Amino acid sequence: MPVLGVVLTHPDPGALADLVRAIPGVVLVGNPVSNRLPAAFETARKGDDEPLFEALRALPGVLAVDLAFADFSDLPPPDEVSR
Amino acid sequence: MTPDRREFLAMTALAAASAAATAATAHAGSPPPTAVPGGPDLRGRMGAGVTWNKAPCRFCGTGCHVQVGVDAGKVVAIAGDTAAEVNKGLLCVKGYHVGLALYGADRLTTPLLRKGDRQVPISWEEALRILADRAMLDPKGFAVYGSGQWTIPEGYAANKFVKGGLGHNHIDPNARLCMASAVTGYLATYGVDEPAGCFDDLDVADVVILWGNSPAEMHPVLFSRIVDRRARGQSVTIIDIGTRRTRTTAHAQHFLQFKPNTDLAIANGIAHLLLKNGTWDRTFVEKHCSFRQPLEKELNGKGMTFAEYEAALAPYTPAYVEQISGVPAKDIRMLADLFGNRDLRITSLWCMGMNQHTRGTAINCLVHGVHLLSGHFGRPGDAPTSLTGQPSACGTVREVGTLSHALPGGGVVTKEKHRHMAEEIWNVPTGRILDKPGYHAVEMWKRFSTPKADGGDIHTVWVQVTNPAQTLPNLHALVDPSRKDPEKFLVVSDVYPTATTRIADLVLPSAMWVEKNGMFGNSERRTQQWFKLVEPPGQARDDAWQIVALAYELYRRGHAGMKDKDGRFLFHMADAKGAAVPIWDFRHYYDINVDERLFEEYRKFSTMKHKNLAPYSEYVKARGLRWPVVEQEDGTWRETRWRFSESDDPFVTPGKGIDFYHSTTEDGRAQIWFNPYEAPPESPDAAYPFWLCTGRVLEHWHSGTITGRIPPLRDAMPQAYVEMHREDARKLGITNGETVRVESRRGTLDIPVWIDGRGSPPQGSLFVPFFDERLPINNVTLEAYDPFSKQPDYKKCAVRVARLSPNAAAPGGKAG
Ligand code: SF4
Repeated sequence: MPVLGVVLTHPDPGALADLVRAIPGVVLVGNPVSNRLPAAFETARKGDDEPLFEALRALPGVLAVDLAFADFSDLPPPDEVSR
Repeated sequence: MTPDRREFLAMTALAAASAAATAATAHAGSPPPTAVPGGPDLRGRMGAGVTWNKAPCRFCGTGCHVQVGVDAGKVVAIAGDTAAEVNKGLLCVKGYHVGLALYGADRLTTPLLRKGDRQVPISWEEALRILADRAMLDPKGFAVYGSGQWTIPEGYAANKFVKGGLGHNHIDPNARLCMASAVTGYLATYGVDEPAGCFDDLDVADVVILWGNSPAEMHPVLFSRIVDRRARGQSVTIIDIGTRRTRTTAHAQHFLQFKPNTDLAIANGIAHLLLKNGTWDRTFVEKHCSFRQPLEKELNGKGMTFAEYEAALAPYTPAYVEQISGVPAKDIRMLADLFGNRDLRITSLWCMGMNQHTRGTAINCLVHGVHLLSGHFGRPGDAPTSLTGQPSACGTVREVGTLSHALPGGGVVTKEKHRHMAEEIWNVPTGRILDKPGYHAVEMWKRFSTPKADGGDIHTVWVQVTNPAQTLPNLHALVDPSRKDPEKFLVVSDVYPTATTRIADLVLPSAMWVEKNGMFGNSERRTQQWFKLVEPPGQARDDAWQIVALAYELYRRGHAGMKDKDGRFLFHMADAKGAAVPIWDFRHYYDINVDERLFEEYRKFSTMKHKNLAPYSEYVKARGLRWPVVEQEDGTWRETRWRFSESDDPFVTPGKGIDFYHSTTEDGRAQIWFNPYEAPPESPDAAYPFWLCTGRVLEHWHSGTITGRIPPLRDAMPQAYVEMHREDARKLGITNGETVRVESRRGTLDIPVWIDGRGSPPQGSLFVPFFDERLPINNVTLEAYDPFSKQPDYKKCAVRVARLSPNAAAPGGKAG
């Protein structure tokens, strides 16, 4: 189950926290730092990342969604990671 | 995953995100330290077995740093590096998947030799024998085609092998296709290549102008750095000058849509108004600039007076520019008013839009000229800066000089002084380096695809770290014929099967990214270093080792070029006790740090054009340093953010303020160019009524070789498409998702239509990304190129569109 550390940029990140908590896959929401809100997500599989980012980008006022951490220690064997 | 582990990982992820949020906020706009020690404290995170080390991201020219988590010989996690000034702990969707790049199922793990329709495994010994046979056949017909994804030591080794060893200059990188026009633009303007500004400009600019550039997709972390300032309540105006709406446009206050090729008219229009309104910076110009106009085949053109310059610009009134470009006159005035206001700080950014242009050198010069004429130069936030697409286009191509006319450190093969310097450093006899430039990329492939009897004097091309059978323009002309000619031999070193390995005669498996030591140079003159962290799979080996091993095989066979003046092997390296290390034997390649040896040798070239580099050990400590890097009295090394400006550049003569110390006119002046607007070589007409533009998408790295094997990226953007305006589709009876035929005078491609997709081209225009090997748009593109940079124009050619269904409209249905 991939785990991601995400940083959202927003003019009022405190107000964003509740909206982020409602996004499926959210595990932890951190404290805002200036205009950024850190959060941790878990997705069922790697391919679910993009819908998650789209959902975060679509939140009102979100200016940017950046990544800060990705774990893939549960990576399937290479024959599953093919074209 | 157990609940405990899940919680543990989530806390690690949150800690990394919080650290990045803090770092990004703390660093914004603050001056950089001389060298950045330490990094995020990830020790103990994810279990005791995981070790963390720094490396730059494998992908774009932004040059973000990551921390790579390795457990049991495998990369298991990636974190943004909070100590890295470029990205401050943040990564884009490609960057955080960079660890997965190593683990596609079909990595190339053994050399393969073509036998009929098959490629069969052979040993490295046999592969090297075959390579050497080809080189000995006729060394001058053995060319190397490299990459802006070569590491600095790899590119340096290849350059030395060809120019100092084989004794010819037929080496050129794929960066010829992506930033060669930026090189010629800088040379013609300042007399030396590479941007004067840096990414710090984006932290303080009041206005950021994007000239045919979509950093939201191509340089996402850099763009995030700009929009972040808005979130902090700062005012920054983004102006998107483009031929289609992109993800970047959504963040821009102004979108100025221009007709393809007419950016020259826009730049001239701004200059015209600056003069007319008297808002140009007379003091700056009189002190620091001269005027220049084109002269056929002469990169440096010829001088012109201010009066001549003014007269040349006279026709470019706002109304005339609107007529040519389609940009409303009021927007041309708006741009001129911004440039006319010296209280503002203006940064211009560009990338492929201006470079992949048959007038690429000319438009590069004009944008520099607008900045110089208005005095928006030399202060933080006031800079014309080209971005590079590849992670080391600057480091390996421009700085190391792997272009066919170049030598390391900014030298050129046509200058005797530069050749002598290289011969001295390489310890090869005088005259070893040929004084004639080799074939540039398009010419090299043309010669390779032409029979020997008809002048096709390139018999073998060795490709490393790039995929020309997908990325060269007009593949039918430049690549396909060579595959039918038994005298032509194609060798490809790569990490995965590609369009190019599939047609190769010999395939060599390469190590990638943290499977080897490496150094990159990003878009802002930042040299970055990393160490090998995991083993490559099977028999995959470093590209630099492959070069050295072939050189040794040739040396063994008595090729005179592979010996230095003392009769030693060209890549002779000794250990601390002075004993020769057999680095051509892969078992001994890591007995010493070959990268460090190659870099330290290369570093000797760097003082010639004041591109001074620090010792290798300084880069080990830092998250990159921007050259020129000079030693301070206290023994520390200081990087340079703004070149030519006394406030920061150690080579500016004190008291001069601004000093273009490599001026082509040798008087400390930069050149303000006049270049007229001219029609493109091919424009839509009755038979081919659409413009075609090609380019990249966020999820995929260039030809998709790596990102196509990373499931989340592949799933997010599974295949290429043609973007089309809704109204054009309606007129042709085309529905969203329908496969259509896009056809030019050179070839066709059947591809699905995406209406109102990622980008929005205007009526009469199409856009196709080139990442998809199954949908090769370069069968359609044009190989016309800029006369100075020799960079092809992938951004505009004429095509028509036809439906494939039985009731299809006539091909070439009217656009617009
Ligand atoms: S912006 Fe470029 S360098 Fe940075 S993480 Fe993304 S792809 Fe890598």
